[in-house]
Amino acid sequence: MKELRHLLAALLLSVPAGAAMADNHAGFNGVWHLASPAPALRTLSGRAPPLAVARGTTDDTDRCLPNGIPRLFLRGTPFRITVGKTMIGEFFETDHAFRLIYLDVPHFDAIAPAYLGQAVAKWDGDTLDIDTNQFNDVTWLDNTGLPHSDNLHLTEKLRLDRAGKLHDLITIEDPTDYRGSWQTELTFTRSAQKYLPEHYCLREKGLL
Amino acid sequence: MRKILAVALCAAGCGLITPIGLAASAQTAPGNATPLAANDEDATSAGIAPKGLPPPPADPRDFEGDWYPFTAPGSGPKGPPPGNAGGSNLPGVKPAASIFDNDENSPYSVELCNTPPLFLGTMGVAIVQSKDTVVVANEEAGDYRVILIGARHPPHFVPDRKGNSVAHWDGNTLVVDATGFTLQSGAPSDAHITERLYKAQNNTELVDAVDVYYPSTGRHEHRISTYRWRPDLKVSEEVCEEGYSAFEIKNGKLVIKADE
Repeated sequence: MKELRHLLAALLLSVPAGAAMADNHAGFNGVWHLASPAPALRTLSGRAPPLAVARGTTDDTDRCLPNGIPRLFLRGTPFRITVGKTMIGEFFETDHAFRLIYLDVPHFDAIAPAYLGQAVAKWDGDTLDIDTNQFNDVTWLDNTGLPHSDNLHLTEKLRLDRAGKLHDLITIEDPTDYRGSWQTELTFTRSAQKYLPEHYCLREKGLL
Repeated sequence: MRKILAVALCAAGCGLITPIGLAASAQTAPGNATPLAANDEDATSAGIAPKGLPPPPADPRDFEGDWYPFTAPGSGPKGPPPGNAGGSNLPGVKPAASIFDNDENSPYSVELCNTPPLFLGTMGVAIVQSKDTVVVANEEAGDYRVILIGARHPPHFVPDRKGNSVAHWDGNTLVVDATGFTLQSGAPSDAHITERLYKAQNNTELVDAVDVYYPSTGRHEHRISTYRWRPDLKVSEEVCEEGYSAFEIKNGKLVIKADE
């Protein structure tokens, strides 16, 4: 019996903490899509965001440039979440885009701002707290021209509810383009799709 | 014509896209301002990764992390050893160029803005791994590939550029079976790829041994690519499509933008 206890203890010790954590959050794994189409982002109270500048009029995705975050979620196409021990990946059908979210590390230097920014995160119980900065100012936040500057800072709280839906509470801070920070929430449902079809905008436009 | 245009586009855009991870991490390590040992003579002369990196996961089945070709900064001036990510030839088999070329009839060739079906990148990859999924995020062209462990190929998979990849474990080797490819033209390819992914050198290297079989001709091709554990480098956002920003569509044709 004593040996059995020792064996169990040894087995428990042999499981890396990260592995155990990744398994705990395995419910995030899979293919997801927006629960209901939402071309425009609204605040939690349903109001229009506190814009300090005019909406964008030139949509660079028409030229196959990336959609950015959170607009990628609003395109109505599915995305895959894969939860690893040291990072989490969001892999989108649209634009064959991917977002790597590094766990338990601070932001690192980059030589240029990015369409999808740079994301790091940590688990707070069953909620994934994502912090994203270092955006460029090219993308829109939604499909209606909601702009942002390169001062954009996104924080997200990603959590599963008991019904199996995935909620992304997004806080948007951009002192250049908005009068104060504001929040919005996106809800995703699990997709029956196991595979995401390929999407290459350039080919779709007949350029390849 | 299309190929020439593609080259022109890439020259206009792809070359201008600096891999952020490479350049940035050559200056500072993630999370601190300490210069990396990219210029460390000991490290470079030995042809190894910079010193002081966090160790790779000890689990030989854990591929997660950032992996880079031997030619990445800090890897040394002696050049890549046999089996570099740029491709090496096994004795008696076809040159690597035959499977990583711009032959539009090859299922491996790099079409602009999507990666070839295998790793085969000359830039880095980040691997995110869960119990039943391995996703390879490829810096080159900003594309990714999903490998489902323990799954079967779907019976009605619509062939595409990256094909369909399923895998199983053989000891500590992940055996990947990939099929369902198309050529650049969109026509289906009969290429059937078997890859054996495993870690080597105390888990600091990731080896991708590839066997390609064409049932219609009975031809086999082989290739080995090796990546090095490089947690100091982060796969950056490579937007191949930016190369097209110098162009516009007029009358259904892609033309160089007129000077403004």
